[in-house]
Amino acid sequence: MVFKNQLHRLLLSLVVILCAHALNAAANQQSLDLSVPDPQLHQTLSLDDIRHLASRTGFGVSAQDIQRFAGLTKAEAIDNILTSFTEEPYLPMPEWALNVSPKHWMKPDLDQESRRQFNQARDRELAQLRQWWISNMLQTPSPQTERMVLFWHDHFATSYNGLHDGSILVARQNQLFRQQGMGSLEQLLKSMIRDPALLLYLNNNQNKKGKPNENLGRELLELFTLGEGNYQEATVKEAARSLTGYTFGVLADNQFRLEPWNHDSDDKTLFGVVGKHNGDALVELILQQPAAAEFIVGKFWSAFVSDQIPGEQTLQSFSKQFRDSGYNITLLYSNLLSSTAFWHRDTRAALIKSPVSLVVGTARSLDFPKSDWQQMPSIVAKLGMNLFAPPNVSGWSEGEAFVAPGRLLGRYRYLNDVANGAKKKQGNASLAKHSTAAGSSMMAGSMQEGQMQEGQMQEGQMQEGQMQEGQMQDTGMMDAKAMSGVDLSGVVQVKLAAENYQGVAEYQIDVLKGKKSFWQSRRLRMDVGHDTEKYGRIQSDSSLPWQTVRFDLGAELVASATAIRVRFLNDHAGSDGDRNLYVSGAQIGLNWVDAATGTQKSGCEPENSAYSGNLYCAGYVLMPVADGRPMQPYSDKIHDYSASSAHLVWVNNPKPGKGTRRVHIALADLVTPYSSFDTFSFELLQERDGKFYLSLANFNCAPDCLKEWPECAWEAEGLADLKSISVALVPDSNDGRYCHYKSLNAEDKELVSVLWMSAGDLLGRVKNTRRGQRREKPLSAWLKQRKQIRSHLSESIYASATERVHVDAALAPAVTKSSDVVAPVVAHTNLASLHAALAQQGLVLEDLLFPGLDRALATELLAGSDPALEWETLSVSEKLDSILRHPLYQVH
Amino acid sequence: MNRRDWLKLISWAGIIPIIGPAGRISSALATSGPSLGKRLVLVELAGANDGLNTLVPFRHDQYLKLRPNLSLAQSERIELDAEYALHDGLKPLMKLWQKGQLAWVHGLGYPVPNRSHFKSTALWETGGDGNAERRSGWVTHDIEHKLGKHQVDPHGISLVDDMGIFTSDSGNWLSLSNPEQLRAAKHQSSPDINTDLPALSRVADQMQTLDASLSSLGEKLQHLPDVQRLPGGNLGGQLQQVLRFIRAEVDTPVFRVRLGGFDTHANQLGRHERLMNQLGNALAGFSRVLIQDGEWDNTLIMTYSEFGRRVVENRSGGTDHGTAAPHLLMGGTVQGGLYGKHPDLDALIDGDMQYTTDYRALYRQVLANWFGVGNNEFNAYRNDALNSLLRV
Repeated sequence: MVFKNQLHRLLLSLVVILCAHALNAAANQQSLDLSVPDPQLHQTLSLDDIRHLASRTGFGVSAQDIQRFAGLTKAEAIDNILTSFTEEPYLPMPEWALNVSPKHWMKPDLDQESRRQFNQARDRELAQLRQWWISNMLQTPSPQTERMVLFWHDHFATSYNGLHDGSILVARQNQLFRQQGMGSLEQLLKSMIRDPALLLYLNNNQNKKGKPNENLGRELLELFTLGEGNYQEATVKEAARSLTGYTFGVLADNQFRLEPWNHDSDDKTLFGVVGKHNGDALVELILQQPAAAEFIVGKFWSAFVSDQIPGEQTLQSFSKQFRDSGYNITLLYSNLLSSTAFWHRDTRAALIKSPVSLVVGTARSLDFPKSDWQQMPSIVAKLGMNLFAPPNVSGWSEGEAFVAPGRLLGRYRYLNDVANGAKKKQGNASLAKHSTAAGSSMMAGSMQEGQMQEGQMQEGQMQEGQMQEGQMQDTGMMDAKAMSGVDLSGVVQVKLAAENYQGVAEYQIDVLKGKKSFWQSRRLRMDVGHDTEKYGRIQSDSSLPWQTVRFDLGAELVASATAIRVRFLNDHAGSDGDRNLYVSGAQIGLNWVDAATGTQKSGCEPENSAYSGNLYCAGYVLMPVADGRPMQPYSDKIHDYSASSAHLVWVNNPKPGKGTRRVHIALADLVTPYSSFDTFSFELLQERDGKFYLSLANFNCAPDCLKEWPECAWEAEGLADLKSISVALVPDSNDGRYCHYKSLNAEDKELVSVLWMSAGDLLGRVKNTRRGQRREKPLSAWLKQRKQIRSHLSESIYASATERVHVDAALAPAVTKSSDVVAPVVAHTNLASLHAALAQQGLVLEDLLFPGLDRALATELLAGSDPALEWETLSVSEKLDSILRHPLYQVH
Repeated sequence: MNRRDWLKLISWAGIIPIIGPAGRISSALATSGPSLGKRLVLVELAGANDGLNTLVPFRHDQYLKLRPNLSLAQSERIELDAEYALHDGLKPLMKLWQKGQLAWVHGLGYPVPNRSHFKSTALWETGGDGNAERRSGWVTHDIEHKLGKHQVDPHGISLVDDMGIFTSDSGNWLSLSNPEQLRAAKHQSSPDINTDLPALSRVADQMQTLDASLSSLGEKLQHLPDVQRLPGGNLGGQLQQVLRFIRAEVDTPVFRVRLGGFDTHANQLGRHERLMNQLGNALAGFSRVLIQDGEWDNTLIMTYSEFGRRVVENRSGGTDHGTAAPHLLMGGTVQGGLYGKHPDLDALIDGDMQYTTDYRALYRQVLANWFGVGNNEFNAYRNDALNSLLRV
């Protein structure tokens, strides 16, 4: 037996060797140019062709994909794909991602607890962003858009983990790929060297004249454009110099800016060309190198066509066309899809599916695994493709690396789940009716006191004609304006997540009045929790499958509520997993209460308030309404000029007469009668001659500090968009700066006056911040000057301003600015209804699941060594089993 | 086995479709490949361990001055010599210290320190530094080279979640939190793949490796001897599983376990004490069983952590992210003692200790003198102070 098997193996390897020979022979035909258009471009697509095209350009093959392409010629289908790219995502990005950046700059002044909350809020935003992207991939009618965004994300790999909680930075980068991913490569590269996420990830904010940091320069050459070996080490250094000063304004919404004072504008030699090259010149010179087109074509080829290296002729020909088009990405993509190579039989089933292709592709094809969408980000992460967190700047190791044994094990765990789940779901037709986000049953609350109708609550509830819950909640927590028209006064919502283990976490929600519970939910289940037994523990808030549950209790009941209590009922743990309940917070009418500010009682650590909301053991978290914050932070403003806090940004301490003394102060959430600022900052200066100035720079406020910058404002050399003014405490008409104040409009004049009049107070205030204490010495030099400044002020033109900046922490919008909601509902069906839908189109299940091979070959491969197997006699679920668990399903 | 049997699927734990009857593959492959007969157990102290309160320079003025609240009192430490003491929680390791089988290396770190947990852990696991990232586990390349890529037992097993960055794209690195998952594994047969599709044959190839691995593990674990429960909480639990693999003669040269919770920004004293207790108890219990089993000489235990913590305590009774830190090695062939130089506490830069030994000098020693890879990628970090760390 052993002998026979070994013989068999030997034969098998012989076959492999022979095949390899055949391939070599093919590869040797270098003269063949497979970039030429497929001669059958005007023939109608076969079913196999449709599968090939859909799966390569998007994720899997859905019944809709087949409908979309049926009857089209190859050329028409490609045209259809090219013309339906979109710059906007199908589901809108979470609200926070479109807003001004959170104030990362404030973090040094936060106490431990607030900092933890701040970081947690960012992590939760990222969790939401991951869910948003996955649900987009699942539902979009333009899967090619999402696939292309994923391609660029992998190419310009930037990880949230290296961004100091920069959730908004990766969200903005994702938008950039949508807007420019199909345009010109030159433009895209010029945007990337201005992309704050990439700049921070590759430390270019530290790349300054005289102290260059080479990280971005090196990776730009090695990983983004030319590839190793196609440039010299000296070029890296010169490239880094060209990129000095490319950074972003931490006080100005983290937007890109070029700091001329940090930019090295001396001559550099790049590829033999000497000049005062900047980043743009660097990009242009790179694109003059022949290797650039070849490198990018190679990346596209291995992502969309085949992981076998293209023949030299083919590569050259694609590259030439790409270069000649001025690096038009759409043209390259179109050429690839139209080529003989793309449609060649050898190119079918020639790519190993990435985790996203596997998981999202299966869900799109089979429809019903979509119910797991909240878990999908953590599933693809466990399979080696954590979205927004590639392992390093070279992106994900692809192809064979995705099926390394450890990963393959995970892939089969998932596919087995799908196959087994399908059987269960097929047997339960009722599931088809409730196409809820969680696939969970209806949950109802019960009344204990007072009166109300049967509590109606359903996870991810969505009915036609009703506003999507996601949208409503999205805006609800953060933007009072957008909330108008949506009455939340009778609603209680709780945002939570679970790690499950040998069963799902169960919980119960109480609404309390005083100590008494007057409304209690049923025992509820976290069906969409993350399964730790299969996939391991979740390391970070950014990967938890957050969801929101909603209860309509009526305005009267909600108004009398004093607290919400969430109890975790069935803790469980073992050596290979753990069951935990996480509570982010609750919305009670128009208030939001963070679990972190509530109190927790549970059987184990952490029991301190700092980690309130993480229920690792059975217990509860109590969230008093009084600790909540209204969702309209700026209502009922008493003072004309108010800010939520004042901070020290920077202060120096030159010896008297030895340089300009400076102190830079930033205000959070400054609201004036005319504008509101997320961040507003100004500098006080004392020059060597002892004179005082107040200086504003447009790159230190968000939004812009002034309504209107005077004509005579200073501009950075060669950069008209960096402006600043300096206003003297004692104006002197002989001073060149005299016109700075004089030319301001009335509103800006008032602002400057109020700032001057408040300067002394603000200096005293920042003294008590953490950073102020750390820089006590240099700051005290300023504090000594306050008297002098005040005495001048009382006589000055600024004294007409009667207002002062009123600082009150209560005016702060929530630290946790993340919208406390989950991404929108993903509708899905079950296997039985999918089967029926396919039958209407004359299709069977395998039409969705095979790769783009012809059917005879695919069934032959599936039957393998068992010739007795009659494929057609298998039941649907047997077929599904066979396909999903077959190695063939790992490729497309 | 017929087709219908194949389709009778076993739920996970049970799991995987296998190419060809299991027996065949294991018999065909199991004999191949050299065996190392020894193993490295990597203990990650996740969150950044406070090295200064682990191996304590208890007499140093600066230590007492910069840690007014956090410096360990006499009752909270055990003196090793006139200058250094261990945290009292590590008392269970003192027997090994006295036997000369516990070594500490002072001041490990790397140039241009990174203070992000994720990034710095990745550097330690791959052998990079602040100037240059690397892309696969620091030991993976050499292990795969020595054993061949298709070694039947996994090249490495992680008892925590996933392998993370500590892996390679080519070898057989598995994450299995519990051998029970495999004991229950039954085998199924899937058709032989006879194909000229290169991608498909590569998948099939990997599947065979995985299959052979699981099949071998499954067989070995069938008669799994019980292992007593180890002390030391969750870490003890993970090490208990490692012992089961070892007792079952699973020939895996690298194991990875993790103890988390070291990010002690606040209220450090109590938290760190609990962690030290767990670490001490778990490692002592683990070593006891290994000694009983006669596996002590074949096992090398080594801790690592993303970075140390700052010398100056913060105002929350904790410490913030720092730089250099000491780490321990234990095992039958370890030459106990203190190695390297403690960072100069009088020469802090921005309040941070400066590393005295590049951590890759330690990796170089382990690869050369434990795994016998004399010529390894860390040769440039040679440090003769570590020469006698491992008895060859």
